[in-house]
Amino acid sequence: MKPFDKDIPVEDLANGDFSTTRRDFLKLCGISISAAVLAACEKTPVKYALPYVKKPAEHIPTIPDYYATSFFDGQIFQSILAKVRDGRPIKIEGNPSYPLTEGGTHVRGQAAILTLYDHTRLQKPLINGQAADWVALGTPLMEELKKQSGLIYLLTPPILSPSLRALIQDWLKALPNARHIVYEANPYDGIRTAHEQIFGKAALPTYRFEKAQVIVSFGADFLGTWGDPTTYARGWSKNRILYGGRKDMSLHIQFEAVPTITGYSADKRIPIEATDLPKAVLSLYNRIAEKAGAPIVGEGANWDTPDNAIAYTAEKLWEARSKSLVVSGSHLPAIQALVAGINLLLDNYGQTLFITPSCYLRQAREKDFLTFLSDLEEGRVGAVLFHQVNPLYDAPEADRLQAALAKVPLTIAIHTHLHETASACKYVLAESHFLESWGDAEPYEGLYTLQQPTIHPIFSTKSFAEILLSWIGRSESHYDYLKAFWQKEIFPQYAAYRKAVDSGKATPFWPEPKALPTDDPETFWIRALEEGVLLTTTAPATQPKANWKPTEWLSQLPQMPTDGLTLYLYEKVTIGDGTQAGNPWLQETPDPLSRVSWDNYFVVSPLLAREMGLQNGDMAKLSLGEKTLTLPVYILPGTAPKTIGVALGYGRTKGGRAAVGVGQNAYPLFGRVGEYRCSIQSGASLTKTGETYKLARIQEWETYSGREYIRETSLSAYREDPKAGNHEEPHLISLWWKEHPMPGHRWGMAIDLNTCIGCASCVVACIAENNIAVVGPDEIRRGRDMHWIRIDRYFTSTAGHTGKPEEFPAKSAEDFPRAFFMPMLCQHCDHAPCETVCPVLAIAHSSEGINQQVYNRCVGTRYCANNCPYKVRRFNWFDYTNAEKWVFNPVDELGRMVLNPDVTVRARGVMEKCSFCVQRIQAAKLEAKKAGQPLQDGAVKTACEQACPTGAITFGDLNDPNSRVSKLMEEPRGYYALSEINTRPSIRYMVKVRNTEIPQTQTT
Amino acid sequence: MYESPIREPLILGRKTYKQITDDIVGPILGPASWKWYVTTAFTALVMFAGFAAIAYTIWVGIGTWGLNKTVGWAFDITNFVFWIGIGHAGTLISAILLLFRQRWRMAINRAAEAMTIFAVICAGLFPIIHMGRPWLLFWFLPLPNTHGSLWVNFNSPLLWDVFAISTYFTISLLFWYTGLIPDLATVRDRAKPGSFARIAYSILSFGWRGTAKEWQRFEAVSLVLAGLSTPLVLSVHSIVSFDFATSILPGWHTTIFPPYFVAGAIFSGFGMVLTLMIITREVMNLKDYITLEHIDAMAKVTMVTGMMVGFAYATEFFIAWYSGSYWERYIFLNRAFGPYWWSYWAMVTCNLFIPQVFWVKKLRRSPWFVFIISIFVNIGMWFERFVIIVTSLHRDFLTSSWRMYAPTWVEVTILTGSFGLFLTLYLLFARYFPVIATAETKSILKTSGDQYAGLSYEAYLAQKKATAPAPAAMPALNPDEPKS
Amino acid sequence: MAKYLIGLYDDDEKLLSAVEHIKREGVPIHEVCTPFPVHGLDTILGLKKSRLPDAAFVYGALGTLTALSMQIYMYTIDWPTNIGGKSHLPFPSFIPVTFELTVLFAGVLLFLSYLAVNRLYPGQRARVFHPRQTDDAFVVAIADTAAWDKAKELFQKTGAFEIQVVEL
Repeated sequence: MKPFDKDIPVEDLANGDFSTTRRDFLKLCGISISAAVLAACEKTPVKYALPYVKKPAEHIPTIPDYYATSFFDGQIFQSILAKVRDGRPIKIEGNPSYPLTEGGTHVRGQAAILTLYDHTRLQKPLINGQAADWVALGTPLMEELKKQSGLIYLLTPPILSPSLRALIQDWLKALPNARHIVYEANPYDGIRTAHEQIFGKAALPTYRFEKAQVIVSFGADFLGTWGDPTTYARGWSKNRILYGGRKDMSLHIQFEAVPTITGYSADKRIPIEATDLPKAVLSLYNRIAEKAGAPIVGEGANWDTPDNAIAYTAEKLWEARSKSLVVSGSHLPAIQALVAGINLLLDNYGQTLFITPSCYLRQAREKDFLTFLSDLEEGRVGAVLFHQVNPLYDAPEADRLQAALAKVPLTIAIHTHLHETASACKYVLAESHFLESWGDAEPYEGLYTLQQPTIHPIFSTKSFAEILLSWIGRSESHYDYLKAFWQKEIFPQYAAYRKAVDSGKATPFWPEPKALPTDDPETFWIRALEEGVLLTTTAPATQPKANWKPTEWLSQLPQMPTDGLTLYLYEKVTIGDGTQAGNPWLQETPDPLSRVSWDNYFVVSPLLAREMGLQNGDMAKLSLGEKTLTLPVYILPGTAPKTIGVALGYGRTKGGRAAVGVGQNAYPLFGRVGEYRCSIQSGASLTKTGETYKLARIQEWETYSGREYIRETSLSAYREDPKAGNHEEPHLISLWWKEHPMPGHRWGMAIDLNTCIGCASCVVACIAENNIAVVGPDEIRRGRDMHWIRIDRYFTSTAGHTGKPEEFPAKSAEDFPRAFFMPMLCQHCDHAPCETVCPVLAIAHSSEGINQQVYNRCVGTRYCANNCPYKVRRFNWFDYTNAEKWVFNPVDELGRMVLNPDVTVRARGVMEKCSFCVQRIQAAKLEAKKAGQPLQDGAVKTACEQACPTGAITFGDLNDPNSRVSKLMEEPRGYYALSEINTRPSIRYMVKVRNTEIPQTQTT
Repeated sequence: MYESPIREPLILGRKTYKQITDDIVGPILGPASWKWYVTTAFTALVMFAGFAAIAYTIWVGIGTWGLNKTVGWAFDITNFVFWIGIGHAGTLISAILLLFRQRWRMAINRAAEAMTIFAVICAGLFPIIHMGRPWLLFWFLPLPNTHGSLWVNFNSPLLWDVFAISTYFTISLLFWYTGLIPDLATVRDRAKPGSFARIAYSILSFGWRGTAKEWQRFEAVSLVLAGLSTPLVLSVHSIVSFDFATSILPGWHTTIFPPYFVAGAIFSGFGMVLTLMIITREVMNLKDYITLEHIDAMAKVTMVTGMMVGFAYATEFFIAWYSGSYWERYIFLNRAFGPYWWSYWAMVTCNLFIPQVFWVKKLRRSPWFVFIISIFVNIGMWFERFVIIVTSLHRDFLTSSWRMYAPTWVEVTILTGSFGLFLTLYLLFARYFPVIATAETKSILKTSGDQYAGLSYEAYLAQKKATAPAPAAMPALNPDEPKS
Repeated sequence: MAKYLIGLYDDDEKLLSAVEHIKREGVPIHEVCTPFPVHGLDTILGLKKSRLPDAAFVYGALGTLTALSMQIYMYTIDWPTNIGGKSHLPFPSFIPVTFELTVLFAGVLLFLSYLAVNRLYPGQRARVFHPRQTDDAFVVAIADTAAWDKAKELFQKTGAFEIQVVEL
């Protein structure tokens, strides 16, 4: 606007001097009005969305890219593919070319994507809790470290990355008084020490369950939490498959005190008191020794369970010499040594388990930590660095550590969250998420995977390697360092291996991933990145010479007083050691056995519950010496009568979105036998406090009440008659004269109850794929979980079907129930009861046999859910997209980045359910169309199928007679759940077969 | 129809036509008692509390109720079926009794029809608010739309409900109003000329004059509407029962439901009519019109329908056993002895056992006793629906999904609110409309009034005790005979 | 504005005999208004039987047709969808809606035609001969002034308790 030549005498008006003329006044009005008008005409700002000015050639918007990378949270290692949609990773999938898991994933691997978008992550480095910049934490901090006269300790989880290992060495060189120790919340030192002393190599052996015909486990939950569970589950499942004409399956015997999914997936599960485990192992050793003609050692040679399970086991093991495998979850070297001895006598080393190559997933030495602690307390330590470890939370001596740490002049934490330990440190270096940083890993000797970033760091964070690089004053980027390292170190190694294998001099130890070019390092590097996996391990000619002196170990066998109750600390499949306790997906996923989410609790046997008059949810106080712990009680059939189980990983006080205030921390109750942690402690006592607590249970009824949707048989019966345990399908009639044609595809699924181990990997995969809301503990208590696929757990029972504790008398092992895991999802019935009753036709059947829920048509009468016999429909009771109210649901600004754009986020008042991952089907069809070929079998994998580590789920086209699923549908073991009500489901289950005789008292 | 000579008169107190008008129309134009204001204020308060709870539900979500993934319906549909059942007695009395020429209906049909309409209003509330997204209600209608071919599902019982309930409401309303027009005209002509009442009632009475032709058509239309309502009332509750009968849920999937539900509806309806009538005759002092004779008759009907319902319960159990179906057997055992056993036995006690007292004539004829029983009937029938819905849902096929249900304060407030709505509407009706069909009553005055029986009611009873046949009433054409 | 001679009776029996008498005498009766339906009156007056019931039947049939054609069009012709594997022409499912619409059409249209033929509608001015005719008086109205004298004596003879001339 043009300024006035002379200003308007408004002040005259103000001071009442009305010299202003009418003209001035009108001018004033005129100007102000026109000014207002002009202002009103101002063009309102417009925000432009910027499309690619130059689109990256390889990237098509809305088409996801998959990057091979690796995940390791200190416990679970996974070689994965990160699905990146328009620049943001939204899903983690197993890397099919990783030979050990072949694309299967662990539940925690699936869930890890969510931590990337966790708003409670550290967003910038802190000094004394104040936001700092990286400059001050680079060289200056290193200088400060150099200044330290005292010892410098670096605590890390097992370092799988060879490049990082080298980097740490360089860093240590720069700091003469620095030491690097590996710390684990739940260490495997016992087994490593045992092997060190027997074979001279401290190693966690490489187990090849797929080669074992008889598997015996003493409390090792190898399918869920122990060692490298996904790999083991994969191997284990290979010998559990009973279709395609296979009539053989492995025999799996589990001795355990507190039920695990491994135990309940076993053919024979023998509950024994935790305190009897040493006896059991020794007795088994002696029985084997007897057969092998080796000397009998110690007493209790003929100790056995009431039903002589040990004798039976010894028989079976001996029959399957060199094709058997014995594992133990014990922390104690003595027991592990005896187990090793058994495997030695059975001649299993080099057959089913290997010292070379060994497994690198566990590296901690208890001694190191204890010396570190004493150094701290004696003030010898000048600086401590914690990288991705949390001893202030999960060390048994956390309180001592806390006190001692105060004396240390320089404390540094390198972590993604401000957790218990980090918040006690002066310097907190915000670490990048693994999906934001470069890296590599060597989970097993000679088996390498690469880790590549899939997104630019969201916050001002750095990876540990980058920090080290800056500290040792190397200017190159981590990428350059890593590439150089690989081309220098790994490339020659691989080239040599390649030559050896191609020339037939050696055979690969594992089935080979795609071979990589070895002509020049550059292409090798690129291809290696694409594949993410490379193998340089050849089958070893021999195993290290064993120096086996059983008597040495006997003295170390713990003498456990059997008076009072025994505390048994275990890990849940979902939460593990608590590293990912902050992950809402994992917290809401129920424990496969108790079906309780969002809590830990005392696992007690029905017998004990009856004696003490305990009901589920009664609060009880456990005292062990002067230590006490108060938790609700959960009565889990199959628990040893005098054992009380408590899950680790709960009761976090800092860090993580959903970690704080969930359950109680059980780590302080860890005891030590010698320097070794022991998760078993006798002499505990339990008292009822009188309060009660409502556990967030997704399933409230324990048994299947003898209903026929659960079917099982024994292997012998199956061998005689493949239809054993199965029932004749009832004769079903239809009112309508003809079925609707499904000319093109017709999608169906087969689920093998025999290989389902209930690991819940599919549940979280489904959550991630289909944007399923996390509703939190209160809603779970109200029975409103939103999971599209759930794994129902059913117990058999001996007395009636009340589903109450008294149903499980547990007088002797024979009375302990068997369990079934039944994945339950929408059955996509051809005669779907839900479709018929929807008044507004929000559900209709597609021409490909999919029962399609139309969210935007749904008005929420819930009639479909009432009429669904499988109860798989989930209703949006509230507006779960409200981030303020639903704090656990990733729908805040950052959290919603994880949402899959191909799947609608459901509104309030709408019914939802499994869609057979229709978005994946459409994508695959499109791909096939572009390629101009018919859709290949296996081109469509539902999220659950893809995540399943045991391949229990098979999805495909029923119209294609050659598809895997069509073949499975023909299997005599197949049956439809609730077939008698004539819903004609598209999902067929396969009878559970147990490699043991099923007591008639328990068949229903 | 055969008339017993010693039939008690239906109208007492030596009425003349004028007195009838005064007794029934008088109060409408006169001032209301403070009692009426207090009661109405109270019921309105309860009603608004209910509305508040409904608003809360719609604002926050169905999650504010106690439902869960297994029990998707509970209080909502229970109340819906309950109120629909209540409604049925009205139609039954006015339509079916008209067809059966039951004269005693005339004292109560007007109020009963009003009750029907109000009950249907209450019932209609619940299917709407139980929706996850009630603002999309209009999607239930087969409206042409811009979504391409997108119609409603004619297989769905819920859709049948939409048609059944709306038809039922419309027809009941028309039937009721047809009868009201002449009586409103009566009120109109007695209101002070130029007064507000005069204007209001002349609008409401559509300018009725009562000419011979009008009356002729009036009777024709009443008869046809009655003829339509009779199958309608049966169909409506059958269709409501289809909500359950056509599902696959054990305990719902039962062919006995249509007759069983209709019987139950009549039962509960009569229960509610008794409750209201007994109060009305006391408060509005209409003992001469709603006589012990009426209460007696209704008590009989209540007991009979009660036994029909009881028979249905027994049949269900027998069939569950006889079918040999595991699911059926379990669900019925679970009903009677499972965690909701108390609701089941509350139902059986209130519906089957308690009404048995009506075998005793003395009790049938003591209004306050009947009143108490009628309350039990209402409770029992509410529980019947609760039992059918909740006990069938909470434990169906897969044991993994079995769960318990408990209502929240929101659901309870909505339930009481529906009673508030019902009573408020009824009180307004009783205040501003003739609660008794004046014209029709006049038409039976001669045949059923004691005045024309030639002596006072007391004397009449005395004589009847002496079992002497009363002098026959003045010969007259049967008032209900349609012209032909 | 028309003038009527009206005779008021206090009893329906009296009215019936009176009307019969008056008709026999050949006096044209303009209108008879009663507080309630007096049976036999229409026969005496020789009113034709109402055709409303027949109309109701037609309306009902109309409803049936509408319902069936609607459902068959939507479900079978316009949008055949696979719903729970049921046929595209699930006739049994159509019955409830068909029945309800039949009743609805019959009822509503009947009521409307009833109002129409009686010229009843909100705001219609009630041309009432005497306020008591909706209460307890039975009115016979004579429009033909020529016949008034005869009518007057007939009224007296048949026991009308009041005779007057009204204008409306």
